[in-house]
Amino acid sequence: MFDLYWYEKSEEEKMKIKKMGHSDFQAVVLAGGKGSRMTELTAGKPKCLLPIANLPMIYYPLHFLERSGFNDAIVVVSETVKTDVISAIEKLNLKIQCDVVGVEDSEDIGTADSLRIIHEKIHKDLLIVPTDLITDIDISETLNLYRSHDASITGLYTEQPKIPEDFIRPGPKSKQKPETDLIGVGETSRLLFLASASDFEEYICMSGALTEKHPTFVIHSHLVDTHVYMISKWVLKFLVQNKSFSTLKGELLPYIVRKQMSNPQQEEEKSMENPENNVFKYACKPKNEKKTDFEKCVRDWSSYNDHKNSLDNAYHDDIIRCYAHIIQGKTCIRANTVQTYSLSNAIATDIFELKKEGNVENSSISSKAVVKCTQLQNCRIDDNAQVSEKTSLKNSYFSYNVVVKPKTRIQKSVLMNDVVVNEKCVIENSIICNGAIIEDDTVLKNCIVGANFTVSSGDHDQEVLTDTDGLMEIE
Amino acid sequence: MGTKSKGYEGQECLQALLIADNFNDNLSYANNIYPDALMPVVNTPMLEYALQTLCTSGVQEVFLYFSRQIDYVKSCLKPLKKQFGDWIKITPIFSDGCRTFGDAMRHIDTIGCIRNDFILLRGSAFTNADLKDLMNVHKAKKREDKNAAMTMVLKDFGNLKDTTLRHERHILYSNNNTKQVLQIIKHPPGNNNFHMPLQFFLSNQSVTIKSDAVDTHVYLCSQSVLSLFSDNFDFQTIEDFIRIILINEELYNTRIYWQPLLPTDFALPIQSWRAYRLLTKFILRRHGHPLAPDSRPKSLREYVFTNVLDMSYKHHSALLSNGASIGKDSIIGESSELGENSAVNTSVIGANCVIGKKVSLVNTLVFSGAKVGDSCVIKNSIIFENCTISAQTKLTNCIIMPNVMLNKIENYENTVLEIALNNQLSEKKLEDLEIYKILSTEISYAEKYDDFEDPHNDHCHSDTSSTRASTPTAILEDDDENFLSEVIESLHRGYQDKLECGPLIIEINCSRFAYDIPLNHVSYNVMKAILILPFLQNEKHLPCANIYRFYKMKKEEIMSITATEYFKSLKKILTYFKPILVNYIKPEIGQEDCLQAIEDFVYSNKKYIMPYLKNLLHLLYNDDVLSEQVILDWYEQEYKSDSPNAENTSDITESLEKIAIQLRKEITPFITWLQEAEEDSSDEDSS
Repeated sequence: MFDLYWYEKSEEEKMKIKKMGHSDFQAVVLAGGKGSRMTELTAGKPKCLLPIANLPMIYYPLHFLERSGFNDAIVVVSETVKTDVISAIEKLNLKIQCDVVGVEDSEDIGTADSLRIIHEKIHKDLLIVPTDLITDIDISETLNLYRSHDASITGLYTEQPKIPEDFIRPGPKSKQKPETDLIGVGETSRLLFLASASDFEEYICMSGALTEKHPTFVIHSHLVDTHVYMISKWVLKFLVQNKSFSTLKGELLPYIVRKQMSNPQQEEEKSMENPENNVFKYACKPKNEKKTDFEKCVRDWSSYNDHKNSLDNAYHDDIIRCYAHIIQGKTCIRANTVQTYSLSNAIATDIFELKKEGNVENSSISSKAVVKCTQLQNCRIDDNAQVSEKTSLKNSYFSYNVVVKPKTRIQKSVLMNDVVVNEKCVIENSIICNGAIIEDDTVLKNCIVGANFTVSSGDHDQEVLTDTDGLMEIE
Repeated sequence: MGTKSKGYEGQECLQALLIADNFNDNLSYANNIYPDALMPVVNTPMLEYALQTLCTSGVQEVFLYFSRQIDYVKSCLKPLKKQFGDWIKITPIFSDGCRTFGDAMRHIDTIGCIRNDFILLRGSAFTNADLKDLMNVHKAKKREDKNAAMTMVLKDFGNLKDTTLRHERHILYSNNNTKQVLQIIKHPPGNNNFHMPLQFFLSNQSVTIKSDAVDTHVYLCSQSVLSLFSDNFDFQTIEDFIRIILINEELYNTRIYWQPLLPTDFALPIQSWRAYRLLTKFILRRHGHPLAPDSRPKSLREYVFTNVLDMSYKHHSALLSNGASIGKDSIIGESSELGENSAVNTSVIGANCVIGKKVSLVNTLVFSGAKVGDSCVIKNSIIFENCTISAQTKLTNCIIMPNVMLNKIENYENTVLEIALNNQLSEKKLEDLEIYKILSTEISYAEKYDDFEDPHNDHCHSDTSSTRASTPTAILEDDDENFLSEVIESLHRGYQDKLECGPLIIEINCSRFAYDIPLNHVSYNVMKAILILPFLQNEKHLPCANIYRFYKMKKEEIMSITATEYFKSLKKILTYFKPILVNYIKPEIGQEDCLQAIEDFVYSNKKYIMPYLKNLLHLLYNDDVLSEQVILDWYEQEYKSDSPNAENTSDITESLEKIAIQLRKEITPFITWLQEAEEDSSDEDSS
């Protein structure tokens, strides 16, 4: 299990190790998110069930875990949609065993709060995966980075997804500024600094102790935080005791990353009144654990050092150690905005080998669907869809019960359940939510149509067409 | 000199420029004896190492720029020309009047001898790297970015925190991909926090923050560097050049890059005595191979090992008597003698020295021609040329200047001994700090953890305003003073030459970033500078630099003007600089600082400003610089003892308190007027 030399292993060996599974980790998929960055879409459907290439979003993180060798996972969802999610997962035919846990549906339940709620189910180190992770990354290397350095927290970061030149985000043009995370990474991938650029005005205050220990490090500002974290079980214990942390990324992680540089003794003195708050109380491992003793021996006797040109012990004797694994050259999208959601729809078929039905080239047509279409290219059509004759469908997805009437052209679009598109419509690069009805002679370009909304005839370009009442306020 | 820059092989001629002087006093005491380039390290002048490296790298032409001790330089140059003349064309340039690095560069530019990209070395540079390879790196950079002016060569020394170089650390920000330098600042002492402009991270995908690299004093320059110096007369030092170019990258449209030395190459400039000591050790331990004793250059070739394990050497002509021992990291120069039972440890002994019997030398530098009598005990000292030290003298932490004769048996500690103008021996105490800087080679490890505190306190990241306030003022004071000095210079020059206020604001902003001054200090210092300016108006013999220091020194003389004159002058200046005032002082927080500055100024210059204080406030109020609310708030305040510049001793505080009361009394009429005006206006509003 302990594998410092993972990188030197052959592919075959890697596969063998992968098949052994990751019994030292428990995987948790956090699927309770509301999708507050794309309320246009999530008004009618929980985020984790939004279809990407006709599969609910939850499929992708589960498939990601399954590929990486996990046999079971805990899925945290909002209590109200628990049954929907269970039935959706059952339909996916995944080998991975899912334990779906519902948590109270409330505004102020953050990611850290949900972990606190399910902590009794967890007795190993944690792998946390967000539900909106659409990626072909292999997590094993990241897990090994975590294992080999006995890390407290390891995060996975990737490059910005490459956006095709002809890609246009549906909906009105907006200058939505992407959040900039500042991620400081030192030698051997040590995660030294974690903050959001919006926390600062003009200057960033940096500790001198940081440069004392790590004379060279790099601060990345253009990486994507995948929100995939490996978290040691002591961190979870700490989290359970300290109820002030509500989110992982915003609060807990930056805190733990900062505490790497702290002096355990001083921390103890500081928290005399409230010893439960002392993070080092949790970080020091209990000595009676057998495995720990063995590990300790290995580490003590090893001549390994993670830094050069300094006489300090390995890891500078830091008890808390955070790591950042930066993966390059893979596709990774967090489908949490309209832009990334439609981007993942656009490229899903390219990066995943999705199951194919029917015999039309480059398309997948369910046997239960009635498709009389004449021009069909790169489409996926789901059960009970009805596509009439004299239609042209390109690069689009059609979910259950979608009805497409004659003389209609649809390309680069997503049509969710029960959408009805009437005659003589042109739909291009649009997202149409479940139950929407598009009346005759409608032209939709780069539009978003809200759930159960009826679009009357006319031309629409870069608009959001929805019942304004049904929309949550955009924060 | 041909107009085409062709070498003898028909290739482009590779040129180097070596500025022999560093124009600073980092090597205190030795600075007046040798130009930096002729400072001997392991009995060999720095210049010889530099020329050797230039030759080995295949540089074809080198210009040596000397500005001090021309006669001494000329005598040294002859043998060097003989040694290297066949390989490299050496052209010395002498200029007796040159006082700064910038002047030297401007002089070179007018001569026009540099015709292409060139290697710029400072006299303090020591390296064994292949400079031609490095030059190719710079040329490659230039192909990508034709406006690359300079590539700095940095040596990665690993973590410097426990080394003697830790006080000279810098923090380098650079673009991780292109190695473009974004900023270089001094490393804060110890664990103190530092501030990084957020803009760096937003405009670059990834930024490297590096504090383990040392500037080698080797710069690979494009020709444009010279013209940049010529165009900007305020570039005094190379640090100025780098700093200002980096701040005004867009204005000058030039960029600076950096390049690390190969791990196998060595470089260390003698930028301080600590570095000098370290370099001595490194050369003796052969880190600079092939620049090492018994190898190259010529003056080191004649040395032989006395003990390979200890890295101790002697010149083959040096005499070791019975029982004399040379300990580790030591070397004995040409024709020197070491008497019976004498012991030398971690010391360098120059040529033609005579060391008596039973002498103990520890961690000491003995320059050539010294005579040390029997049974002397010398520790942690520097003995310059041609000194005579009589028998049984004990020296600890001493510096003996050239030609000193110590005839009496005496013990000296922490002393500088030199021959004064009247040919008498003069003694001067070495300050603690100085000893530490010059003579220490090891550091105490206790010191390291002295001021250890949790540096990452929880609010550190999230709250910039609180960190700004908590920044220890003690560290900033030095920078603050420098900044104030620069502001005074800018404003003074601006006022004299009637420059527009816009460029002056930019200039002040530049200085502000250079010294990393928080915004509130800026308004404080700008106001203070303006208050000082009237004193300087009548002064004809102002130096062009360090006006503030001049002002502090000559305060009594300058302040011969009357209060009326002062205020007249101040009024003119205030009117002139109104845009600057509005820019810095208009925000409410700036107004408070402005008033604080005025108040502090009153404390030290009561008689000039007190009578006209109300007029001054009225003027600022009328100019819309100060709002009435801020003035009233300030008036209500009690005397604050924690004002940045106030002393803390109790009786001073007391007298200051008195002044504070007097001050408020003085301006009461104005305040009353203000309050009445306010009431009037509110009456009008309500009616």
